[in-house]
Amino acid sequence: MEKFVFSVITLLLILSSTAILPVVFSSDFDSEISVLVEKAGELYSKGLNITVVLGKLNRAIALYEEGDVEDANMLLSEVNSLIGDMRALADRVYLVNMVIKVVTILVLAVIPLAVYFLLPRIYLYVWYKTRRKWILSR
Amino acid sequence: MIASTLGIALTLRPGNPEPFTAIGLLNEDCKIGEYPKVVFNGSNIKLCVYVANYLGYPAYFKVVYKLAVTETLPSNTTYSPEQPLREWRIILGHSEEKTFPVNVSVYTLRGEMRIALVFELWVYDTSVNTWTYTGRWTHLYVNITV
Repeated sequence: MEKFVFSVITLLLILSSTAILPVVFSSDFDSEISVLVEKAGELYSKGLNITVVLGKLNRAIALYEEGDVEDANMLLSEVNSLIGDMRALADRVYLVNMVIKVVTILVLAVIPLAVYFLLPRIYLYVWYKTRRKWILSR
Repeated sequence: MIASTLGIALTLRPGNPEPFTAIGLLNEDCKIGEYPKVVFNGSNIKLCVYVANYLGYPAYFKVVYKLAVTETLPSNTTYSPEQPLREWRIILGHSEEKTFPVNVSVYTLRGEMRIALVFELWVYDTSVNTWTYTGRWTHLYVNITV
């Protein structure tokens, strides 16, 4: 008997929980979001800061969950155009980052050579410089 | 010489050598421990879910809530066959993590008095345009009382 009561309660709860499922996301919405996330990922891989883009996408999801589909779609359009604007800068940022990386590597590679060749010379120069007013006497 | 080699190696190292995702369950104060052990049948409980993305790129995640028994728990490769009861979607950038409060309903499952609250982490795979189970999940066993 107890099991039967539990089963009935469970069935009712399952039905009620299905009814209170907040919003069923359409696969189109998921697909649209994922495309924008992928585009944002491309920008990220080129070194751009995409915090604003992700923030807006999360806001769009929240709006969709609240049932405000129209505003959510508007926000997605806004993100799309923002990504377009950022894409125009992406190649330049990538180039600058690459140049910085190459210069860093070159500087790091030159350090041992510089130390090998320059350190003795600098040491001698300083040694002579600090002793140039010395007077030799027997 | 050593410092230079180390510096070059660090500059040239891959951005994210070991990509992974993570999900965790926290109590209603969003802290570890003091989880509810006994729950009234049909009541709601408050918990916090922690999600982290270290995939090396931003990703679109969803956390799926299910009630399960020992036999229907998910594994590292397969998700629980139980019906999803709630979902939360979130986008996280690389090395970003988020903790958010959830309010979930708990009730007996097929007459079982000891059930598991299961939270599975799914990620949207754009190459196949569908949700893919990450193999990450967390669960909390509770005893149901009337």
